[in-house]
Amino acid sequence: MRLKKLLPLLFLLFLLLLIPFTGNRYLIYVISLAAVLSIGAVGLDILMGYAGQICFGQAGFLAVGAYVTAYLVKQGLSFWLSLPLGGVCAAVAGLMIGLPALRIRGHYLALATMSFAYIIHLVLVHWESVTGGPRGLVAGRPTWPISFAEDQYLYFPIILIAICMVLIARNIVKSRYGRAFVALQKDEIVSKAMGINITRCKTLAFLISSFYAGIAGGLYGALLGFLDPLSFTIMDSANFVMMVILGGRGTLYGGIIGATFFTILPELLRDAQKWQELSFGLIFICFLIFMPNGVMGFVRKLQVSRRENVSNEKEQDNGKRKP
Amino acid sequence: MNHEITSTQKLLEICDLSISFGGLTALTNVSSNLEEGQIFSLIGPNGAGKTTALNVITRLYEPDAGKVIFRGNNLLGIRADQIIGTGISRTFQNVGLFPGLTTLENIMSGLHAFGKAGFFSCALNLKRAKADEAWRAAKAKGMLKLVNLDNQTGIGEAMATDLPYGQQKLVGLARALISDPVLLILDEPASGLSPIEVNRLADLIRNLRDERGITILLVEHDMNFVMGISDHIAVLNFGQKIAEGTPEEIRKNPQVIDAYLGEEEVE
Repeated sequence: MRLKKLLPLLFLLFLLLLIPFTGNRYLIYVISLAAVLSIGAVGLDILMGYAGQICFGQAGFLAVGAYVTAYLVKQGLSFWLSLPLGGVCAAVAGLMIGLPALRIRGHYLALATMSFAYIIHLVLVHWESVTGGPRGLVAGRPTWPISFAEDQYLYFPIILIAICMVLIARNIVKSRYGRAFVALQKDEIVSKAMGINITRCKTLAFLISSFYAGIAGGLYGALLGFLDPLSFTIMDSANFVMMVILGGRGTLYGGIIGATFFTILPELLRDAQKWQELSFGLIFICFLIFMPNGVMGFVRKLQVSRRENVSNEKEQDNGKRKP
Repeated sequence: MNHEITSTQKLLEICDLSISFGGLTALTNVSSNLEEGQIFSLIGPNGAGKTTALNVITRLYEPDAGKVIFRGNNLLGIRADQIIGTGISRTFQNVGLFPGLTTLENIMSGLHAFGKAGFFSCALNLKRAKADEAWRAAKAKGMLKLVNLDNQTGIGEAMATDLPYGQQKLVGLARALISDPVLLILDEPASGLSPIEVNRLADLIRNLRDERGITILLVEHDMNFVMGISDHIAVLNFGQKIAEGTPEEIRKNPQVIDAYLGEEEVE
């Protein structure tokens, strides 16, 4: 039973490991990018889908992680030290946004996080001595234990880190913290009576989400090799929200589906040139109409109805057999 | 267990509690004591301040004046989420199960504040976190049995808010019981239940007191239930305590009859 469940995952892993050996640089790049964005989307899903807080600033946290990592690498620090430091800096920024979030909610929180993303964008443009301003910043790649200058080598640490981050996220949402996040989203008063510290849990959700964004940002920089403020606009933040919604809020794996969709679909539509953005928008709207709970929500609904059908059939069989 | 030791040990002391919302006074100088092992009922007409009193005790509302002392500790000095750690847990009038969590997960959420595993242990699913979760799950199953919900297959894995109302109330009770409270607060436990379910609930509550030594404070409108189960009753009317005593004393109290019970009860 367990093996049956694991098999498709193992098959997927096998496919992922095969990709660098195809030698198709474009494919390797796209899958790497999807994996990087997945980290950011899965983190945001913990905040949005589980803890129920809206955040339009994920690209801002991504930027913090990306620039801190790139800056430290430029100063000569190892990439493998810079990356977690970038994550921590993004988490600190997340804390700064999380604190006001304790007092405001809903639309106001959306606006506050949006302004945060805007502030970050402005800082990136104007703090030229550190960020390079509009000219951008070269982001170094890891050189230890081997040189990851080639995309097909960088692919492996990216996929490995993405898998680890998703597994950690899964542990978190299955733990008492995950339950507490869902609880406080549904009913803060009852949550308090159950001994859940609302302040701490909300702040924690912001910390987790922004840390995930920070790590995604650091890898994003390494993958692109170059950072500029235009990669971290409010639109990019909104994209993360859409990834989570499209994949399915509160499903965790939905973040991966959403991120993959958002990476691959524009590439597929590239041939349509003129119609690229229009058709992308239309496809997105169709998804929202036909799968309001996201792809994962849709899949789960199918599973439930199939299970019910099976049990109904069994009952009918039993009924028939009875004389 | 220690029900036999009917020492007049004060478990909860409420002194001169007052609270108002805007211009509306909800409680005025309410005082009362709960003794260990008691089943204590708070009754009164709608809007008398019964639920408000429970919410002040569990720190969901901030009183304007007064004291709440539980086992010698001042409860007004701690936060609402720290109350459960002192040995007080509660249910809610509208049940308040968390949608999106299964029955067992809902019950387990009552143990959120207990356990040894910190955040990093949980994130990495270390041995300690696993042990904690196994302990919570086992305990939650025990609670399901305690409230007599274990005879239905699949109930633990079902979404809690999909259950029939009567079962939801029992799950809410199990969630309050999982933390092994010293004092259990029940806000209208019998409302919305069928007469058979109310009888079963009364037996269950008596068992909790007799076998587990849990002191019970409850608010309820079902007078047969209250009179049958309570050791001690306090009556609130317009935020003031108008009477207190045994069910017999309350039944005969003219002020209570006038304010709440009505004339037919005595005739």
